[in-house]
Amino acid sequence: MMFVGNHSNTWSPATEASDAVVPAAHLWVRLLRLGMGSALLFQALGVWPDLKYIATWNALVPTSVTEMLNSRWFPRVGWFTHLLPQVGLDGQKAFVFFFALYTMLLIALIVNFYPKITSLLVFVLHLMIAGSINFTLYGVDRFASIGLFYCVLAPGRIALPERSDALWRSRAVRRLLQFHLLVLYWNAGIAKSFGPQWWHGDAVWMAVTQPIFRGAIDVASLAALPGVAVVAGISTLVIEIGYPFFMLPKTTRPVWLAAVVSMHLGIGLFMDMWTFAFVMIALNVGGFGSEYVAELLSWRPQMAQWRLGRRTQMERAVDK
Amino acid sequence: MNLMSQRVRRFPFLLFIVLQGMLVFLGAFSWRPGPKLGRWRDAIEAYATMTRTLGPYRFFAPPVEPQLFVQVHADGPPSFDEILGSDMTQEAALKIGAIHSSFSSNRNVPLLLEFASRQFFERHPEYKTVELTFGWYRVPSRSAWRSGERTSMRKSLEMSFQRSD
Repeated sequence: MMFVGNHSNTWSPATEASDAVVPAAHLWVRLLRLGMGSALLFQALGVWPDLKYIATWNALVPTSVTEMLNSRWFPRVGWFTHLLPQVGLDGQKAFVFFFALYTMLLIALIVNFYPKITSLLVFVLHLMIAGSINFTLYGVDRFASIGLFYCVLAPGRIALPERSDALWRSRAVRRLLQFHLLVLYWNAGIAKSFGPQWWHGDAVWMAVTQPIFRGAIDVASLAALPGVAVVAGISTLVIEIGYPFFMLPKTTRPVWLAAVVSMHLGIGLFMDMWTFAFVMIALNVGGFGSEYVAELLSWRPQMAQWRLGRRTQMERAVDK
Repeated sequence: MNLMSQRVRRFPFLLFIVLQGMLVFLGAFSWRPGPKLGRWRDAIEAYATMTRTLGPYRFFAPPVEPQLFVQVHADGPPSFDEILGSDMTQEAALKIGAIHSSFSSNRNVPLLLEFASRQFFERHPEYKTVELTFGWYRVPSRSAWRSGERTSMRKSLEMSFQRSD
């Protein structure tokens, strides 16, 4: 165990051997794993009570039917149903077993327990589960896969010194995630702008009025103030199309990041799609916001915290 | 020499990052691996599908359509069994809603209704028959809403099931 009493941003010899230290440029991965793990745990806990309707032999679409319709190479729980009885587990309950394992590994991802291997296992299990309940997937599952993929690509804990290959890989993967987000938002914004629905507010209205989106805010107020839907629709277009142009420059980044986070919180509030909101916020904070989160929480190099029996130091997260 | 070996060591990962970035960019603009790629096609398609590299990202791009729904009527006085209803968590309701959306582009709607009926019988053993309606929510415009109109249903298929035992 090592405590590093380093009060400046320079590295002392004592820090060099510690793999418990999170270098500044690697903080984004920690935040991404924490965010993705928390969002997906929230989703998994939401699904648990109704799992039998989604992924059992008696579900609306049984897993056996879904798996039949998938490509033969796509990972699925069904591959293991014949193996589980050999280790004393009921093959019929394979999905429940894998879902329980997935849920536990999400907790491991949150607490950063062997982050590299945990990320890989969560990514693979998420794919397997998705392969077995294909019909129940919606946008959040696609973005969750994207986020988990970056958790896998990024290095685990990084031992100092800072100029290690691992830290270089961490920076490279972060740049890739940033590029992915730029393309993703710009593309989504352009696609929306081609139709009139987002310009005159109909898209926002139709999204929040549908019974399945049981938002916390009464839509009657939106009907009474039609301008609000128009402003929300156009704001969405501006935020998404402007994403590459205002998120890259560091001067406008905090404002745009706040706007994007607000937009996703709005989706959570109005449409009750909290998992989607949390996943997108995690991706954005991981990609562009680690510096501001560090500032916000006033992390300092001298701050240390216990994590799984070892003292972990969160380095000041200014990505130089 | 040391710098050179470092560059050589890093090159494969850098190449991977560049290729991945290209896939992300091309995929967002609807590029998909075609037959010209030969035997690489399946491999690239499998990789891109599993890592969700190729997009698309056009959620809620026009047209924004109302969601599908299933309504269940048991025998006796028609009752609305909220198969998407209030006793379900929002996450489960969204997932079941996604099933209905998936089935809108499939021709397996009767299959979905059959499963829904089986589930209904399991939850309500006192019923002998069940009627299921598959359709759409019809969302009123904002001005129609202000005039008192509310979200309603538009039927597209109705089926009746009887328990065999």
